[in-house]
Amino acid sequence: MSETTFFHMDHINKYYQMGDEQAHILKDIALDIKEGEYLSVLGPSGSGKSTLMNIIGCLDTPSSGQYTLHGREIEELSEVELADIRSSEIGFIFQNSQLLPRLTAQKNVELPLIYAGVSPRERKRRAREMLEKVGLQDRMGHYPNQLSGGQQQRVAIARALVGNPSILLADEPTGALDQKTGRQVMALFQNLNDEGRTIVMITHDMNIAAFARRVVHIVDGTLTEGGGTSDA
Amino acid sequence: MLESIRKPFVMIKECILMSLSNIRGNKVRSFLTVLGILIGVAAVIALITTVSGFSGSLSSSFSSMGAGTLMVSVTGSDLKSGMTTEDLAELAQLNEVDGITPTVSLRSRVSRGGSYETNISVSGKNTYYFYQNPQAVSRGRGIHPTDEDSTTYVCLISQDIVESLFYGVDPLGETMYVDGIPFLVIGLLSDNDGEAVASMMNGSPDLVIPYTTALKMNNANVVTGFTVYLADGAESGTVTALLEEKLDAMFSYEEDCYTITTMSSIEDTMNEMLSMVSTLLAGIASIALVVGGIGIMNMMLTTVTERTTEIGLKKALGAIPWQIQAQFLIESFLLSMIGGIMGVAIGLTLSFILCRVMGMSFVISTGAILLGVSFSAAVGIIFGWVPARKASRLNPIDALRAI
Repeated sequence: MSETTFFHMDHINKYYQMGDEQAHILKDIALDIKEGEYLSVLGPSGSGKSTLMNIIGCLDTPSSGQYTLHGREIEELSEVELADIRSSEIGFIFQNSQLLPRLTAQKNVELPLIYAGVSPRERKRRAREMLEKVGLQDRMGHYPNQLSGGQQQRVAIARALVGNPSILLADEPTGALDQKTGRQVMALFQNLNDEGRTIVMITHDMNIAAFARRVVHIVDGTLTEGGGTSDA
Repeated sequence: MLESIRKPFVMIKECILMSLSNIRGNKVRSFLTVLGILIGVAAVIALITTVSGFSGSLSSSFSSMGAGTLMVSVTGSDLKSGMTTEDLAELAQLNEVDGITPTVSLRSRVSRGGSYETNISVSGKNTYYFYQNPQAVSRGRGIHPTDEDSTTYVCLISQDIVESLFYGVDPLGETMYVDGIPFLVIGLLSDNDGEAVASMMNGSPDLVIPYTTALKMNNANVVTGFTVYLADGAESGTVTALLEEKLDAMFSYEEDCYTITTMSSIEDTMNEMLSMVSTLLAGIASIALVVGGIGIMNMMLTTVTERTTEIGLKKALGAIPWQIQAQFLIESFLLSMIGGIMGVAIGLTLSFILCRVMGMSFVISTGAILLGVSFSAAVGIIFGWVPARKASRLNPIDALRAI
């Protein structure tokens, strides 16, 4: 596993204007992630973990502080440049898989490649490859409503992986799943991390967070390093 | 770079496919949305096609009535009550005039053997008339210059006269009496002598005789009505001016001695009226298009709200604002085009039926189709713009919060 730091956050602050009051959501966050790391951000709802995820995922920019991803200063980028980073660097996995109901599993996986402008043939090949990787080779033509919750989440993982992102960003990936399928998804994450994929997982569930190699806690906008490396 | 040119095309193709599947996925709603456009385009197409079919058959009947002719009716002055043969010959000499046909009308009693008919319309014509209207003679011959010059007693008769006076006999070469004067039948008139002008304005004559003979029977020596045939390429306006000049001189510059009527002036007026009516109707119909556009806008705005999550997701997956905007714009464009194309089909069917029922020729007007299609395309883009822009400007975080 390489030890290069490619993700660096320093003095990150985020304020939201809520009517007359200014809410201080993230307070002086500092976070470094090395390539190949498996990190989970554990925190209760309202702790600012979603805001942190949005900033990590380049959906939002910090009010102040420094965020470097693969050597690029995120806070200086335009909306289009941010979209480009999302497309090339980040694979999102959401709580409810968020598949488009009118597209087949394969088409759903192709979606990020469409926006990246990949040719149809190449798109198809990579989508199939990813679906095979998550064990859905016989479900490619199925629509989301023909798939179980666990399968849907695996399609979502394939979609997050298809652009070959440098970081996989998962927001409560097991939130909508039962324990058994949740554990299967966690096993898949483990495999991906074993292959060298960097993963950041945001969760409020201690048991799920424990699957990660490194856990940080976020409470009331403040980040504290949790236990060291814990093995699943 | 080749890549940067290819990328948007790949994107747009996918947008079209996704839009189509969205439209298909909401069939009823999509159909109701495009109904406005459909009705608008169908109405515009049906109106334009029907009116152009109507004006087409109008102008073809006008040209059979004799566009390219001028009709002069002479009231005369105290000194000069009408046109002499020499006057007519002088007018016929004009370069822009191909020829002149005088019309002398009278009503007569015709008889043969024991049968007779009264109040028969007799029309005096010249050789040139038959040269211009060869189809007027169905059998036999028309009037020859010698008939004109020597005021011979020859006639052409209509089918009605044949039936009433010549039952079972070939009338050609037979003799019949017109006001007691024996006339030789030299030809038969066609049922519809083609010069619909004459039939419309004067009623079609039952009997045609040399105009000189007609004048003699009328005890007159001047003609009070004649038709001027324009030479090829002559403008009716120019010829009218020339004729006015000549006629003014002939009538010693007295006022109101004659009237010149052009067919094309009547046709122009009617076409002008028709096109005004059709513009007005199309204007009213295009209100339906605007209403349809508002319907599309409404549906697209609803769609944007409904698909907020989808938009947020796509943004998270790396879609840039113009890609989102393009998708919604393409969707409203396609919706509108589907309505437009259905409207064209329905409009054409409707106008085909209308034309058939009204006995007019059905002509597909490409202009109308292009108008309908481009109008609906424009409606799709104009009314889709605001919703698409709204979608593209959604903040991905707010959009994802709906998850």
